[in-house]
Amino acid sequence: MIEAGAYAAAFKVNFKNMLAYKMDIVLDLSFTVLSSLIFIFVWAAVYYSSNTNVISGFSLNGIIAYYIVLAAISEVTGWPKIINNMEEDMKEGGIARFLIRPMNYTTQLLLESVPVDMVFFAFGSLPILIGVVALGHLNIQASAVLFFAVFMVIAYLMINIIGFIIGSMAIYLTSVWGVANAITWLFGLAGGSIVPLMFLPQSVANALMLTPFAFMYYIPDATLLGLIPAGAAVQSAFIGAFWVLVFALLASIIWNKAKRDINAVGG
Amino acid sequence: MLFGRKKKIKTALGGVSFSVKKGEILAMLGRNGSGKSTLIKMMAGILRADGGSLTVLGLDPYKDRIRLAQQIGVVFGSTHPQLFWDLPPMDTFNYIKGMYGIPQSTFDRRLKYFIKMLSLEGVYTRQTRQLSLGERMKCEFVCSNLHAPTLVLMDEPTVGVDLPSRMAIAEAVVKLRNEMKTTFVITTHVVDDVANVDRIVMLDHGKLVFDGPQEKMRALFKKSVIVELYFNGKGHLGKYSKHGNVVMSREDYLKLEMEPDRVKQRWFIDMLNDEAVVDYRINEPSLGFMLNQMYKHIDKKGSHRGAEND
Repeated sequence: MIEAGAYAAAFKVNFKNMLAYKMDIVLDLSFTVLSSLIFIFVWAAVYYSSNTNVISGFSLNGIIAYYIVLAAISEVTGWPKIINNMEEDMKEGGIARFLIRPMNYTTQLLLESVPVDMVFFAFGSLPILIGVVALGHLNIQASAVLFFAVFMVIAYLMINIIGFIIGSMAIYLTSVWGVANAITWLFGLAGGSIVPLMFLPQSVANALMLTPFAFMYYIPDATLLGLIPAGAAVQSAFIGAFWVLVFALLASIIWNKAKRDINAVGG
Repeated sequence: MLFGRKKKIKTALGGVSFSVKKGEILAMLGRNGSGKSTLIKMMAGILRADGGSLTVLGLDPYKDRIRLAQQIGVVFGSTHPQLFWDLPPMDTFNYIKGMYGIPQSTFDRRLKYFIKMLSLEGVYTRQTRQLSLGERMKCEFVCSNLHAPTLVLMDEPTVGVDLPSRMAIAEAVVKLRNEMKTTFVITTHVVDDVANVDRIVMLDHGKLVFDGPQEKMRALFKKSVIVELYFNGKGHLGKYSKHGNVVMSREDYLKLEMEPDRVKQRWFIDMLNDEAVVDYRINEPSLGFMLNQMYKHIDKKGSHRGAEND
């Protein structure tokens, strides 16, 4: 029986370890904001050159708010660290040092990545969201905040479970950088981080809203901006929870099969 | 092949059967690729065996990995360190305290014990990446023993480690065995590590080729002595090398293996009195020599049981 103290100890040491290089964190946080700024500049250029204030029902201010919120979301739903950690563990045999401890490998992976994500949420997402509200760019409803929180949890679980599935593939592929990169881009493209989904043809946007992609960026973002009514948000929450369960089941099947083929090279 | 790899199934271990007694220090020897590390990883529950049976402390290591991990410690040399590279070892020690639920007073007492035993004063509070390999390995040893495990598995713990640190770890192993009855299974290529062990198990190509105490290995070589001759210059090797098996030679140095009876013969006394021989030594074969001879013997006979049965 593993005591709560074991989890606390693992969390604490991983948290401390992450803070060893603070400049990296600052730069990483800044980069996410920077990439959103690039999109804002591109859209500003589109609006100014088209001599129109509204495109697909979006004003320039609306677009700016969308990408600012997107920056906040991306701080925690970006490239999951779990992929790099697992790839390294399989490639260099580092998994051995986890398997000698009286705790599940998956739990240890979570305890390694959650502190990082918490810091990114606390020092990236929250200040951005508070800032955008304080500057009066958002008129947020309490229900929207609640749904946003639910969708953030769904997105976080989904990206990490998908990351775990990709990481598990490292047992067979050794290097999963290419797969991870392709999937990250696919999520970006179909999930609304490059172009908001409402700019796509209605039928395509509606179809994408049912897929896991939309839960990564568009649905939480649009919910906070009040673009998704409460009824639709509830429906989306169920769809999102369904996808989380599907991916969790898939991850469990893949891991239970793959872990038998771990070879823990080196040494 | 440019776009693919041919896969070949290689049996890492087969025909290995032995048991380890409580409180025993067992050295597992063998060449690179002989299956030592694979066996250690199987014993730790990291790898799954395709067949056969393996029981560690009454548990199936793979199925009961978490339960087993609470009772064992593992040192993986410098390949898979437990220490967090960017933090002082003390942080890892504290992490282990929480992981195994070690009470604070017990933790303090054990830490003090290890720090004194391994001379780690002023070391464990410095960032791990600033420590020497020897210091790191001593701290790795502490990591694996802080929770007072019943069994400690050490996979090549002294590769590249300086002699004082190596000796300190070897002494700590014996001390823990004597005081705590801890069982140790150590894989190594360093002959010095084997000096204090109770028993040697030797693997080759995944098979057991020797199992017994050092005395048993010595008994295999009781028909040998090692004679070292130091000459006053070049040109003497040809004259004396015919008297035994040449183990090593330089221009002015010759190391021979020969039967013990030969050193009592007249020609041998004459050889030592030869003006060309400025110094000489007669010794029993060293452990390193014996191991090397066993490898050669295995290669020559092509039989993995050969050395044991001779």
